[in-house]
Amino acid sequence: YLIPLSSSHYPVNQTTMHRPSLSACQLILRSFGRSGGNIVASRRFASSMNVRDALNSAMKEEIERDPNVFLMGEEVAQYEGAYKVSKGLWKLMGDKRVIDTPITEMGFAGLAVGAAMAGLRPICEFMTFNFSMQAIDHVINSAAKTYYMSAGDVKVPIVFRGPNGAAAGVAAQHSQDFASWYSHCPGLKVVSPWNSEDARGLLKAAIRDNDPVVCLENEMMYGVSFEVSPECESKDFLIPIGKAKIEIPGNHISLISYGKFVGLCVEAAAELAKEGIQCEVLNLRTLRPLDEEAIVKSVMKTHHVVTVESCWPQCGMGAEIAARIMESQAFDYLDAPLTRMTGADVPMPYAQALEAAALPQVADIVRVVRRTLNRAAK
Amino acid sequence: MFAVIACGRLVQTDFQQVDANKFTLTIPAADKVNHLVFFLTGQCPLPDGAAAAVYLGWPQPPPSPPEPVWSFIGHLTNEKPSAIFKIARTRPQDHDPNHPFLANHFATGSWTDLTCVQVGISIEPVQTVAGMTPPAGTQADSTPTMVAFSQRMLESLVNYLSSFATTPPGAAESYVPMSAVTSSSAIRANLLLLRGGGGLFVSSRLASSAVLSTRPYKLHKLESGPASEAQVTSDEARKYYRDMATVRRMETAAGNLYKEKAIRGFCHLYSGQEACCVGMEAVLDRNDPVITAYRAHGWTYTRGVPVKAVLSELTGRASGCAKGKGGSMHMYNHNFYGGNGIVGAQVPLGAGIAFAQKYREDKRVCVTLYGDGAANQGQVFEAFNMAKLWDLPCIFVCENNKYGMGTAVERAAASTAYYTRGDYIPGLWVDAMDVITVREATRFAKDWCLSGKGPILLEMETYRYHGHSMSDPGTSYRTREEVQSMRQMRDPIASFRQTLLTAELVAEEELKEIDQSVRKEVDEAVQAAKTNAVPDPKELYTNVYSQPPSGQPNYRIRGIDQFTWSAN
Repeated sequence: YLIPLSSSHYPVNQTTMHRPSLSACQLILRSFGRSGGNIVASRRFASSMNVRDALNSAMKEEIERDPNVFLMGEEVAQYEGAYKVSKGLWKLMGDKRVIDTPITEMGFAGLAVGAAMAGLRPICEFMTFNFSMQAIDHVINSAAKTYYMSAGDVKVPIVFRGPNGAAAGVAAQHSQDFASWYSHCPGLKVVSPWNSEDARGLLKAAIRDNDPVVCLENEMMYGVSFEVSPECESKDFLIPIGKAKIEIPGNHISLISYGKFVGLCVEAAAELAKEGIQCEVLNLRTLRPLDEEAIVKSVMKTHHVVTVESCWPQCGMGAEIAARIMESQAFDYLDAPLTRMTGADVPMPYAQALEAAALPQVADIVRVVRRTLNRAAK
Repeated sequence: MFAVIACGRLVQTDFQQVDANKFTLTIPAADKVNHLVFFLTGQCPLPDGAAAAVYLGWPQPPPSPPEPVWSFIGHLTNEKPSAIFKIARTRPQDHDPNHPFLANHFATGSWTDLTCVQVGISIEPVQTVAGMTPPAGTQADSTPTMVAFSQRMLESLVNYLSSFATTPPGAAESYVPMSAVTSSSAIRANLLLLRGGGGLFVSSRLASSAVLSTRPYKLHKLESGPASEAQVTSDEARKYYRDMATVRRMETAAGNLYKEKAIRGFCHLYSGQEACCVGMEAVLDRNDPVITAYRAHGWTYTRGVPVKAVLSELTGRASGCAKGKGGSMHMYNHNFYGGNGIVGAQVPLGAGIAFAQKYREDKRVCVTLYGDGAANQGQVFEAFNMAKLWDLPCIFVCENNKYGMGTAVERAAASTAYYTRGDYIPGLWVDAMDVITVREATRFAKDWCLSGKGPILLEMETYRYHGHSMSDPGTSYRTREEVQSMRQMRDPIASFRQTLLTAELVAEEELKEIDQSVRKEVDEAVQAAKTNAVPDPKELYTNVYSQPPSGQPNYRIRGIDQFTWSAN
């Protein structure tokens, strides 16, 4: 059966939600062929910023703001960052605030945790989170658990950040998504920004947080530009940790994702909108603690849900979201079981076509949405 | 020609002439002797222009070679034919292979008998001898007047009482409980002084300080090492003794509580290693952070956590120092970062704490301890690298108790010279069964770091009497004889006790008093640990985060199912 278009599904200027980014809006509006330019024109977007600059400016401002904040990691200083995320910071701040480490993850992650225990606020960069496995004992046993074990005596205000998940053609040892591993552990807060606004607000909030925060970025997003609001440019722009964001509201199906895959959901939503399917794209932003309220509310509204991630299927983020929905009142509102779209259950291959087949693509999301809604394939 | 008297014994004249101008004899059981009187018998005088230089040769404990280390203590001349010397255990820092008394390999007495001392008299020109200085502490002191004696008696009383001083919470200064003042022991201690003072001789009067020697060190990439002797006041002596005795008794109590199943899980006891934490704390202050591994109860105590709070934590009570949520391996206090369960993990953490101190320009050192088992961990070397690269004020301390769990050091490490394994980091090997030796090494290390020379590594060679943990009897990988022999020959508390008595720093009565008071403190703590309240069930969910997530101020923590939450 056809799902009727409703006319009242345009984004309303709600204060609890951030405005959808301009690029998403443009996609939707174009596909509807309306001059929804009214709504767009009524907002003044300050400027365009890519995710790299968002992270860079966030770190710069936080280091300037608080003398205890410093950045430490491989190649962050003189090389300006392996992916240039810390470009210009060492020249500006010097050796004391931006520190190149030897290639010894376990050592420097432990050192950073010790410094945090002693009252500093380190930003510990992993060149990619794949290398964090060498240091994961310090993230979990030294950082996450210490406040609890000490019954509130010892705080660990550290941020672990870096690219997470697949890049392009970097093969099996450099492509793992650690969202599931880190969001498993109590004592950590885990965030995963998608766009520039996410990146700035979440990283700043992470740095100001007194608990250990893991910030999972994505290398493929660093160069992508987004329009950002004027508020985003404020030095005190913070995004609350633990709150998801509806990037695109919709009534028919909830697409729940984090990081780079939010972008794929947005693209899929645009395509599906052409056939009248309104996807609600929920950007989790925080993985621990999950914004269960937002998930439940969305599913109660749309009655259908697809999760999209690059973790492997077993014990991934989708599995957790499925369980939560089952346990909540949203269970009774489901018209179809949840589908989780994940990385294929294989180590990441190198050859391009194989790599593409190992991760959800926009066409896959579109296909799965149709299937969930019992629409015939086009 | 010569004779020597040790107080209370027959005069000894059995000097053997070993050379044209050299004579020796052996004094047995010399560790119990405080003074020696040397005199010319008058049989024949010294040649004109000659003096008799008197040397003492103390044997060295293994692993040093079995030859005595000689030191000059004084001389006799025809004009001064007799003299009394106080024989503190001083010995030169370095073994002097060219010493006059070593040219002759006489073996009057066994060098392995550590209680004998060799006496050597060498007849030399007066000018030579006049230029030689005996070590400090060999001149017998004399106090000519009753006034001076009374002064010393009062000083001793004040010292004794001040060892009982405590600072009640919220008080601005310390107070001495009346029970200490009025107790018979205080009076007994003074009677002892009075009785001894009647004779006005030093042998039964307590000193307010003494110079004690340290055991030899081994150096790695260091030009010089710590002091070979140290001034110790009777206050300090009492404190060190009391602290070591407390740790020992506390650990024994913990072992018993474990056997009674009042303590669960892991319990790694520190007995035998007390001199390490007490000796180091003697130089550190509470602004110098310390981090160690899981054999942490001794350090927890010396870092200021009362015995009651340690034992309560072990038995999982709310009065435990971590509210019962940490247990044996996770005890913390101000500037004490635990208590860490993962072998070796505390070493980079400690380097990070030192990093923070350098960053903030605090003039402090961080003491980072690890065991011989952890010494092979990669992250330890990663920490060494960064500490040296960035000149971090970190004192790395390897508490080498010879066994990593059940694996003897020779079976785990290609190089067991742990003090050299910092490679480019200078190192010191320390006989950590002697608290003063540990103290002076720590002083040296702290000065080193604070003068901006970067990190330093101390290897504290020590021994644990118990097994690795309470589940290990400790005898499948070492012999009972080895453990017994360490307890008998090298126990840090017993040997310190002996040193104090010999040096007359503290009376035996006082030591007994301290033992009793420690026993009482630990017994009370055991009672509290067995009977105090367990944590409130709500504590399961507290202290996961220090603040709720900014977007979820009412964040709840899930229990064992979706119906069970921290707040409902």
